[in-house]
Amino acid sequence: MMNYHAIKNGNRFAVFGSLDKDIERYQEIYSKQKISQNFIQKIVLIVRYSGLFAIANHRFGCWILKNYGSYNKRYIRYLFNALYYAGKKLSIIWGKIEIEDGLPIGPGFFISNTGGVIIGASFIGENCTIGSAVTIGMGLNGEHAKIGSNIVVGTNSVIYGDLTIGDGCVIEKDTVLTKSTPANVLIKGNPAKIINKNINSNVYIRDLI
Amino acid sequence: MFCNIKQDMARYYKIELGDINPGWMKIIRLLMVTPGLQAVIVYRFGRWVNEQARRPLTFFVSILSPVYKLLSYLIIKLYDINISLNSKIGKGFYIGHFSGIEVRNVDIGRNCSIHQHVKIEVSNLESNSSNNDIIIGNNVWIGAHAKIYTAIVIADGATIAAGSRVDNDINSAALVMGVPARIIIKNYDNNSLL
Repeated sequence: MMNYHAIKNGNRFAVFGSLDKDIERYQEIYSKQKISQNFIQKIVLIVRYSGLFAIANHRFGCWILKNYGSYNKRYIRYLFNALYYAGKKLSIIWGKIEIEDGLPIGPGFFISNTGGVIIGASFIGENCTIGSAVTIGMGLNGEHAKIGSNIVVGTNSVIYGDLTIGDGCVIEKDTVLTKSTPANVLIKGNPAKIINKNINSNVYIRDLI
Repeated sequence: MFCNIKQDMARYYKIELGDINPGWMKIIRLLMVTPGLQAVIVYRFGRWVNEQARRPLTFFVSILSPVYKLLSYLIIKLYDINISLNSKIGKGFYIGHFSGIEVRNVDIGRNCSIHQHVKIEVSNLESNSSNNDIIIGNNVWIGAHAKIYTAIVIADGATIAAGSRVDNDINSAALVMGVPARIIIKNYDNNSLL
């Protein structure tokens, strides 16, 4: 159940800084303005949006692995793991979102609150945006996908196999992607084809989630 | 019912734990954590309660069928897995992950596996018979986000890749892919997937 890529790479992202950036992105997308929040307002946001709760729980899991991952500290880790698995069950039931344990995700991650998202990649970069009913899965022989930064994945799409998605790509709704892509392209269709090159992914966020 | 559930759990032991004879702590953990196994157990319970209705013990049914209705409602609300009672599913059914699964009006064979966001349904308004319209054979692997919306027959050992929509019959143990589904490889061996 552990993601061994994460344990090898060492969970290089800081937890609370990443969570701050996640909250900023949610604020930006849902209320279309950047407001800085104090601590209580951040907790209210986490309890209000199911996607943000799933991401916060996942960051908590990564924090546990980073600080208490060794054999010596296993008792504290068991205590924290009880909380983490309770949070994981809650995010499955409430948000219908499952993120693989220990997956390294960059700051600024957004998942749509409608849910139905199952993520089993090996690495996700910064500022990614994921719509609802998305599956990022393993290939037929157990390989994991590696996803770059600033990516938008539209609803109902499937990404699986041993592939690398370049930075700044946009994957339209209802695509099935099994091969690697270069950077800054727009991908659409089943089987997936490149429609446009040299695009700016920020423009497509509102349409695709 | 318990024989069917044992075969279902044997598939989960093999796929999720990688161990054919796990200890009882791992079994309890598996029962608590996997939504697919809970949904399949509730479905088997519902079929068993319906079978008792044909025998003279109807008071049994009147107690247990509200229990089944409550459990299946919980499974739909918590996990979004909707397996209707008029579908007949063989032993050893594996459901991977959760969310978006709809299985209605279908006869499924033994040792099949489906994954998240799979929709296998045919609207009953057009068909006149009370039999199920979609017939799926044994050892079929259905990938995530697959859709089957027409009354077709799928042969034993077929593999339906992720994201495909199957409109026509599949006659051999083929690998199909795409919208609408095209046969990519005839005679594809999917034992390593199941």
